[in-house]
Amino acid sequence: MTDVQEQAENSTAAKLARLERLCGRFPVLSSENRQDYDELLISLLEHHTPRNFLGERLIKYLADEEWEIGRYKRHNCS
Amino acid sequence: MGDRPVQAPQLLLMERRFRARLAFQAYREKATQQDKAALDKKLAEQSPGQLILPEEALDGVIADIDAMLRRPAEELDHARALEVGMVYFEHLDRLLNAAIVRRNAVLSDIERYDYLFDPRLPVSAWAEQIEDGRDRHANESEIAGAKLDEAAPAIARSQEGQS
Repeated sequence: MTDVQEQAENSTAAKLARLERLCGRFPVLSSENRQDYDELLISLLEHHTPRNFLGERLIKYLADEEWEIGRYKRHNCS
Repeated sequence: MGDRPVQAPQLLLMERRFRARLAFQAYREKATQQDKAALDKKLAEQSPGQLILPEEALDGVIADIDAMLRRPAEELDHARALEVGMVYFEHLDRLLNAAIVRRNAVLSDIERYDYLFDPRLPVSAWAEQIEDGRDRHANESEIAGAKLDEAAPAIARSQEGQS
């Protein structure tokens, strides 16, 4: 892994940690996979490219709702 | 004002449930009688002096349960399962719809507060930017070449004057 990639990963991890600290715990149940939620949130952040914390918070809300929709759909099929 | 009359579909549903209950009771009664008859027959076949252990009496039970579990589902079974789970699915559907509405609200917020996000350029705009960059680079190198051509004779002349 190059230095640039490492720096990018560290910055993403820091961003996620800050979002969780300031906006509340991520809505992941113990039976669900935290890494999947992180991946969803990172994908949305990369797609929407927020400029500041307010944008990141909106994207976090979007990820929460997407996650919940996925959960209900899973329950519906099981 | 009297009590609200029970509507026809509700009556039908109650009637259906009542008939289903009766049918299930009759089925259970018949099954019990059959089991009893089978056990009596088995006991009659054995010699009178032989002792029967409880495990021996329950010999066929495991096979019977396995057969019940392996029985393929019928349309009626699925209908009954749907009837039982309908309230749960209704609640689940309501929750799902509410989550979708909230998600759409967040998406419209993102659209409304677009100044919080970096604008994304379409692919054609990227291509144009690259083309512009190339043209600008070519122009700059041409201008630099021309300046060099202009400056070169002047430098040569000054060198001649010095010598």
